[in-house]
Amino acid sequence: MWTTTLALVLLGAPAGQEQTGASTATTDDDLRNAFVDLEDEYDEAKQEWYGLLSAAYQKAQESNGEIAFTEPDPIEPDWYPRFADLAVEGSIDAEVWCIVQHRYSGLDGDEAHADTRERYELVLSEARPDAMLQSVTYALMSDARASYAGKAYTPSPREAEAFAFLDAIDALTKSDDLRALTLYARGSALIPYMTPDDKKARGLAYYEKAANAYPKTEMGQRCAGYVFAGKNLKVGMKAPDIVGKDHDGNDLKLSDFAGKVAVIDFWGFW
Amino acid sequence: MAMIPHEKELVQRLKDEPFVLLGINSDDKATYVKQRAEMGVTWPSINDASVSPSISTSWGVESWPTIYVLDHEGVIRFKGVRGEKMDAAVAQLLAEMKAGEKGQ
Repeated sequence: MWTTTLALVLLGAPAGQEQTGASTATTDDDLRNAFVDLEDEYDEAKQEWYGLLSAAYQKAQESNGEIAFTEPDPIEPDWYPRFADLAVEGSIDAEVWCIVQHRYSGLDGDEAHADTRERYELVLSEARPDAMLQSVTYALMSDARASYAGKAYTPSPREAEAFAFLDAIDALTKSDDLRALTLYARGSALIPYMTPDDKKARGLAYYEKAANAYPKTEMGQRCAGYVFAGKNLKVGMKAPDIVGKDHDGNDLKLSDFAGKVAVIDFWGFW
Repeated sequence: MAMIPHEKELVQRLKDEPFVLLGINSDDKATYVKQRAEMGVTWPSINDASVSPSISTSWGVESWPTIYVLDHEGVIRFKGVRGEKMDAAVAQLLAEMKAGEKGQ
């Protein structure tokens, strides 16, 4: 029976045949397809939005040569209810979309918070694909992010809740990459841009944990780099040697240039 | 990339000074070799990915370009300086180095 329904959705109902319930997605495949279709539609609208954005930017530059310009109205508030409806029908993909976009839902702060908390609880109530858990991890990282705008360091009011959900992700996954990412998420949330040094210790502890527990993962290695930079790469410190090869395969190291004033430039043509 | 014309000028101007611009380049080899020739890049670069984890990963680099300026004793003296600020930083460190030699 499910197969028949899916076939109708994919091929369209034969002419003249009454199709009942065709508008209601019922199976996992139906939900999946409905989500993909909706997401395609949204992506198309978003591309148009980027076009408007680019036009607004160019117009501002031509008229006053300034970078400042007014962004077109966000489209997410129009789309959020459509994804939310699909989530109600049972689409976990739509739940995750709503989680990722909840900041732009158009709901006010408390409402968005309550709405999103329920989605986190639902999504994290059972095993999910790691890719899905990864998207949720990044959303939680934003929720937990402290702020420091050159004034007072202010932890996020949602930090504890977000960290508890990150614990839930650790329990649901077997992936070291993802577990390293959830540690990075905690650390990064506690060390936003420009965070003063005396506020960094808690965040760095998560980086150290990721570096030590998951040294083979990309995030573990990146976290090790952040810890290394904090300990060894501040102004006034003797730079550690850099040892590698050039693109022709010849050995090349920083200490080859000992005794010279040096500019080290991490760069690329791309 | 946007910095290359400025860096070329800096390297050319200081070619007889105790100075090095050392790149840590994160292009693939084909891009690097082609662009190096087209853009006339003369200074050395270590291939970022020639070691694992990459140098940029080990150094916790979060954005490109990232710049460190070291004095002749290898001490990090400036970070993130570009354009005229880079020139000024290098000039100051070269002057310090020469003043130190005279003082000895």
